[in-house]
Amino acid sequence: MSVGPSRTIGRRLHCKETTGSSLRYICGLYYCGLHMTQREAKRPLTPEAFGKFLRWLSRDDAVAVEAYQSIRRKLVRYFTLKGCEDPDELFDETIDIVIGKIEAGEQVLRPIAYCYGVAKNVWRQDMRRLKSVSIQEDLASPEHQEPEASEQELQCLECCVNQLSPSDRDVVTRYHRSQGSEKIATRKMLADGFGGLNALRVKMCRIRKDLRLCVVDCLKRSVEGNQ
Amino acid sequence: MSGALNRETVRQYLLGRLDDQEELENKVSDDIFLNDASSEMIDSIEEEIIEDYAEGRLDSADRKSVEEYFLRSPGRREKLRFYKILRYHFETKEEQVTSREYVLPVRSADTRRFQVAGKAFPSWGARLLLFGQAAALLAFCILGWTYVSGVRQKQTGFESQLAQEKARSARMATQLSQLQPPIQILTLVSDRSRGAEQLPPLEIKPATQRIIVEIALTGSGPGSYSVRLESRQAREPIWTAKLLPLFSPSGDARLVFDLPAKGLQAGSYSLVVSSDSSVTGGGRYYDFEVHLVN
Repeated sequence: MSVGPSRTIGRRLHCKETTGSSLRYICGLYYCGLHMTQREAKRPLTPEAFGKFLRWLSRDDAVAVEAYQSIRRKLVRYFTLKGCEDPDELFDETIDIVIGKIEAGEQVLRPIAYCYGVAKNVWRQDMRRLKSVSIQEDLASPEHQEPEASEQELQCLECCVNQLSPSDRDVVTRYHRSQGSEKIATRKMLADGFGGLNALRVKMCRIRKDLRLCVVDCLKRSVEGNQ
Repeated sequence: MSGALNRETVRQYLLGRLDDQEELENKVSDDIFLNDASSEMIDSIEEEIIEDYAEGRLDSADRKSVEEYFLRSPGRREKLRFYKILRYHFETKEEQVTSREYVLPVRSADTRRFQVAGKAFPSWGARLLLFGQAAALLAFCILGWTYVSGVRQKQTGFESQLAQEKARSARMATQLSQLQPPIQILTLVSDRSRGAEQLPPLEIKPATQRIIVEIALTGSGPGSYSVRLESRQAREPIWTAKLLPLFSPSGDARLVFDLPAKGLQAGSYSLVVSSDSSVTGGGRYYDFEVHLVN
């Protein structure tokens, strides 16, 4: 199987926003033998094994890469929705197990369903592990912890808010600005305008997602500009 | 279970409440995994939980689930942090309008927190704006005070000058009245029968108090004369007197007397002179014209 340099293969480490005082951007391709975050104890994935996994997904290179990316997206989302601390690591763990099964000669008809089944087991193992570990101190009552924002982040946010469409900017401003009973009245009025509270929530979710991505991109450019 | 997802079920799923119900948990997980169309709805419920938590709207059970399960995910903790920053951003913008105080720790690039006694300083931009406004206000006050002081000084100077001018005017008026003689002299030679074309003028100034009148008499005897002052507007005499004439060594007779200037207006007047010894009783009219001069 030949893989051109322009195609994405291997395990893509997500562009990750870390919490806390700093933002680290870990973007790039993961190839076998490269160090992986917090996985020093695990067996490294060989190029042959990963190539076999892609071939298992499809004989066509393009279809195999597309299928891999789709599986990755769905499994990471699954682990994220299950509240896992490190969805990417659990995805890697899932793929390692699947590759082990393939190398062991297991016959699978539907790769995506098989991966999903393995992922559910990985999550259950993770749950059992977490239940035996006490809650981390920094997770206790984060409701009462004030968020920390760098000045650069606030500037980026200001910039990103200004880049919103006028209607989106108006909605997000009105949604967040008012307080107390005025806030309730304002949100009710906005909900009426969007055809209901759930529609308003979906709208706000989209806007906040756009803003988050915009701020991350802005900070990334800022970091790159300073280097 | 495709299409059977409802918001409350998803909410319970995201809070980990279904983890112990394997069958239901599997159904929801399968639906989420296989049905991309539900992703937006699920995302919005996730945001709803974050918002309710950040706004303190959750009951104790839900809050415990959020803290012990939901927020284990770094992505969700980041979303929570971003939500608070977003809320701070807009509340701060409103704050700039309403001038209220807000509290949010803002960490600078060197990780130093601008937080003192529970109060957070605004960002550099906001601080710069605040200082700029304060400086502008101070400059405006100084300029205003300087301007008002200048105006007051000028006003004081003007008032002083005005008082000096008033005093000077009073002095000049006094000097003027001293310079102007309080009497005027009126010499009347020809009576009306002579047919003089132009009446002799009498200028009366404000300082004039009395008018010395000298009337040359022709063909007069040694007896007394009645003199009365008449104006053309009034029928009654304004002033009357009985006088004796004065005689010069050469025998010319004349009447010399003084009239009060008070009450005389601009216009034509006549002094009517009649001899008390005359049988006919007729008099001679000596006309003159009064001019008031300021």
